[in-house]
Amino acid sequence: MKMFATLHGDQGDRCQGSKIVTIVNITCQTRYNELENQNEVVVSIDKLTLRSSFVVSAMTLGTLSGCASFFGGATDEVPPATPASTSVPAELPTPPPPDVIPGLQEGAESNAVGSVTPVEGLGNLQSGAILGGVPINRDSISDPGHPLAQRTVFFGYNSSQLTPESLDLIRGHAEYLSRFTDVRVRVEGHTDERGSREYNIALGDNRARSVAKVLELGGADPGQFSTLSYGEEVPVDEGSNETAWRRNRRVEVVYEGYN
Amino acid sequence: MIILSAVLSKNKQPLSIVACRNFVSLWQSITSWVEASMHRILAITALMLSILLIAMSSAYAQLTIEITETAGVQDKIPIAIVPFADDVPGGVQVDIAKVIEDDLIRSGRFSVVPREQLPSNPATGTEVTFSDWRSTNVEYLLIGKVSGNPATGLVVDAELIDIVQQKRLLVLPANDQGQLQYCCRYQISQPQLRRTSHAIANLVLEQVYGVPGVFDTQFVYITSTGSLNQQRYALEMADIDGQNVVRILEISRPILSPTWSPDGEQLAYVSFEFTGRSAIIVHHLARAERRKLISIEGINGAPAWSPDGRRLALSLSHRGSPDIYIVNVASGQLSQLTTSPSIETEAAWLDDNTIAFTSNRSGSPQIYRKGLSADSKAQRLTFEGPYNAGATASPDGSKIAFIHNDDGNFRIAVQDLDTGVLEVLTNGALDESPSFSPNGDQILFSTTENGVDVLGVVSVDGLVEQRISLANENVRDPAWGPRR
Repeated sequence: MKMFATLHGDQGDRCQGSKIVTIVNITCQTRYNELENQNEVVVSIDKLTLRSSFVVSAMTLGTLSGCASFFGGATDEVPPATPASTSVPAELPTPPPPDVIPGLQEGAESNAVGSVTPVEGLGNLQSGAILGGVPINRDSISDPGHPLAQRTVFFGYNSSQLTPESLDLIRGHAEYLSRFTDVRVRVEGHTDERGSREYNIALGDNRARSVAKVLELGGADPGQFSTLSYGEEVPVDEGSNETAWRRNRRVEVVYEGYN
Repeated sequence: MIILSAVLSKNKQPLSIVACRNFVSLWQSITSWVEASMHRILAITALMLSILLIAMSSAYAQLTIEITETAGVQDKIPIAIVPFADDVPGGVQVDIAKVIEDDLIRSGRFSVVPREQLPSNPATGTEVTFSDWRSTNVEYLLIGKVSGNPATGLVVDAELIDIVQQKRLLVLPANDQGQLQYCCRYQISQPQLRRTSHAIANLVLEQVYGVPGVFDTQFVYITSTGSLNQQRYALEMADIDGQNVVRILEISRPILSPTWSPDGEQLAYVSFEFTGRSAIIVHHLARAERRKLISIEGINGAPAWSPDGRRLALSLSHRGSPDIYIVNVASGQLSQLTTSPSIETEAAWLDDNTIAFTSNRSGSPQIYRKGLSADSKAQRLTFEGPYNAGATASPDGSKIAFIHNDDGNFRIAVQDLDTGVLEVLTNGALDESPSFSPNGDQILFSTTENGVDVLGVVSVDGLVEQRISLANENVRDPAWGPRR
């Protein structure tokens, strides 16, 4: 199923009066996850032009509502899609992560990082929800007590899907990069030790590109980040157990010159 | 550097073989190597990297090989191998009979009579008294001798005798004087004794089982040592019996996926030695030349040499999701083979025009087959289980070996492409990186033992298994080299 949502609206003070025109190509797909023995709904966002990351939240919410029919029997309990022209509520729930695993639209245009239109200036986000509103300044990444000291996000088995907490953290790093455009990061993807080494390189690459896409959507310039997948080659935990595997399935945002 | 000159010297001083049909092809390949080298020098145009090669040293940890499961072969062929006689001044440095014995035992298909139980020690066929062997259960007898001088060259003669039928085997056509010749005579220098011993073991296996032996082949693998963040990674090469370990490259960042060119002269592998990007390196062994074939944004992975040796299949993700590309090794010209937005990687060549590869287009990794022509559609090959990845093709392209999730354990499975029948060959939990022997009879793979990475060798019939380990080092990601 594909949804094409065109959002038009004046977001008023939240977006400092800028007119927002957003065109989104959203795909909802349900698939059976053989490894976890359950159905999962996958949402992919192909292209968007936006002025505020809040719009991402609104769209994601709307999209998930549109995906509701994929949850068998649960349709009634899901609210209808947020009307495109209404203003964004002040308190949006943290959106479920957009899944950016490529590969769910056979024959679709490549959803390469480079094909996403970059977001322009994020406005007054420091008062918003990102990182719980903790102020960001140039020294934030050198401050071990700052939320941006956290540079690692974790993933489920064989998945490139970001959790809501991870999405928030990556948006925080995106915000930092959008303000300090001389800073560069390397987005390094890793997997656990199980399975094929080269498939794990590819899986780590998917994870790194998931994070890179959020960086770009959050305002970082594509020139400020690159991706690198190590697959299973560089574990942080050399154990062979569930705990070690969970710790190793990760993406690290490496600030060049700061680590 | 010394390592590589040693490798080179093997090529420059081919085994001198007299009256042994199996080595005619070796001669031809060596001759063509010399000719081809002239032309290939012109083909090297790419950036020559700074050489990180390590001087050869005998100090490297020795690989230990043990047979872990031999119960499977019910009827091992009993063979007696008599210590080779020698009249060489100063003696011979290599116990030829012992090398052959070790080879045949590792094959899992022979039982070798202990030396102290040999009833007699003949050195030539004419010295064999068949009645000596009646009381034993021996079916075959291998004998031989070494003559000559270490300074001027050695001559090794070997003969295989069928005790049951009481006849000398490996008989070659009569020479000009009408005399029958009994294989085989090798005119060699002292350093070639081990390889000559392996060549004799090859003949025994072929004569008795009809399968050409691969005892004189080599393999490459990756080692790692040190704790987290202080790892050292090395690419090493050794004879398939674990001897003659050569360190080809040592760096502080990961190396993976070594793959041989079909002529055995070059390796391609993935290196993380450059900050921020992986790279596919093409490494000419004898010339000690490395060149960066490709290193672009995204992954640079899964190199696989085409059977004709002119192309590499590899995986790139600079346009988004990982896809398979074909690159012309000489010109560097790239063409994209897969375009699906899912993961496509791990190409293995079934023939010069067809590859098998891993894709997660169905939602989980599975193996597919696709021709190189633009209109060729991918055909799914694996259907059992939630995870099949990392395929490698048998030398004749009739089978693939790959990693199969067997009830939560990652094991090596083999699948016949005609029948589609899948068979799990190993019993580990983290088995990976399968690689066929050049005769298609065995699969080399990596596994773990007590938390350490070790290698395994399993026969394609699943009956014989070996472990190859290194003291205090992880050893993994093996690739079995071609015939020499």
